[in-house]
Amino acid sequence: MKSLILLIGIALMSSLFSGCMTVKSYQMMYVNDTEMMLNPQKIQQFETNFQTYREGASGANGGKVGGGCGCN
Amino acid sequence: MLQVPTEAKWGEVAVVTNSMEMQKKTSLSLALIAFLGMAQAQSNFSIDSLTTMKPMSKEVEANFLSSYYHQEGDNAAVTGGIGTEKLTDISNVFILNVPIDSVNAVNLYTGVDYYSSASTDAIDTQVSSASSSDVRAFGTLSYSRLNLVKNETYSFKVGFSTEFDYQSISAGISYSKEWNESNTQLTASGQAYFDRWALIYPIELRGSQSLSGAGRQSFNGGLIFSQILTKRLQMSLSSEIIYMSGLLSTPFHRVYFQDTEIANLEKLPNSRMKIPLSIRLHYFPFDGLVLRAYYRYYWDDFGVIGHTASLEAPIKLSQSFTFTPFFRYHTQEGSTYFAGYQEHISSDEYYTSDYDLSALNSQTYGLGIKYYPTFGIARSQPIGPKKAVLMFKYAEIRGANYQRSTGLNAFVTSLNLGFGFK
Repeated sequence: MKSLILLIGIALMSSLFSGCMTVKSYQMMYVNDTEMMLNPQKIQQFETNFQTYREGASGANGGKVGGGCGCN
Repeated sequence: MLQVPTEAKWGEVAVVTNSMEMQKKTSLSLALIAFLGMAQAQSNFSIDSLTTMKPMSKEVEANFLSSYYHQEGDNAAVTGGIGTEKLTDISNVFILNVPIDSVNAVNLYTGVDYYSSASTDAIDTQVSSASSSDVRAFGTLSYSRLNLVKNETYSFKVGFSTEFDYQSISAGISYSKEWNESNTQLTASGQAYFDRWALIYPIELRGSQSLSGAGRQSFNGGLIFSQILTKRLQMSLSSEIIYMSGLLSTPFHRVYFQDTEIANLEKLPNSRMKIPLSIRLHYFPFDGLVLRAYYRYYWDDFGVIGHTASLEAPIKLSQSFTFTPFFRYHTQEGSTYFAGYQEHISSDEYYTSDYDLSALNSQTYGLGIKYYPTFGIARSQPIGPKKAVLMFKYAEIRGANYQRSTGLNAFVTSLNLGFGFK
């Protein structure tokens, strides 16, 4: 069921892409705002790091998957 | 040339959407529709789009980040799923981005962690062990190059991490392409980590138990697709595949069994496959407010399946101040190899009492405050013949409280100071 929901989401999003209008560079005031950046914020890395370890799950969130045992 | 979707294209979208509704009972069909939708998106975006990728800024950027983390809990894996998990970690990171010219740049990411851990102090119950407090140093050096004609970015990086009982080296590559007037971006990346343990066993098991290998390797490949949807809305889809092999258990984690009083070392398979998928949606509904929504699905072959959702709402109180309340929820099914203290059977093939791998849910909530004046917080007098100026651009602080259903609670506070030199 969860996989089905995920696939529905992907299908909807892919349909959205195909219908998107191109935003011109002079119209990018909002999407270029520092709070709109799609990369994780630098200051979030510490939270992501401990959550990665405390939840036994890493990846696709900017957290590391190596370089430190995180075993404590 | 760039193609703007026509009414006919919109009609095709509707057809796709309708066909989705008709066939949504089968995930296979949906996957096909998703693929077709993606393919159509590709057809709308000409590869020969206008060159809009911007040259690199001439500004040298530096960030000093610091954090304090503290956790309390009573399920330490070192003592078999019981005992204190009290841990304090102080981390300092320095990031430096130096543009060589308009298309080449190098980036340095380095830092030091200092931590003290009550549970690792229990490796040796007679003598306070070296790992009761430790220092981890780490660094990554990367180089990136833009191709402004093809709207492409290439980057390479190498890194290391070292602590008392664990060493790691890493290397990675990344390729990114923008098209559709930089409305669309695809990034592919790959990384490899080669780690090595110093095998330290619990005091009472030394001599009677040992592990055959001390190496651990991790390989991960990722794809990120980013798309500007409207003037105020953009999103990204991220997928990764991670393969780990070698010693995936921790050599000083104990496991206690229900059918014998003799403890053993944690035992886990020597390979693990992880597949996380995530979607991020950022929306600027009106001046003064941004909404950042995030969802992640996680699967691995240890049996852990996780769902994570978060929402952040940066509120721009003025041109200089931004307050960001946030909330994150995570839930996961536990690993099939997990059981608590004295719950395993000694004849089990694999076993761990590490509650990080248990079924759990967690909540994180907190607040970030950012002070980012348009012309910086402070600036130096012009320096040297080029009249370069060092600017203290912004400062931000963030605090988060973390509560896990297993009883573990944590608090982290972080500081980020941003500088520019141009």
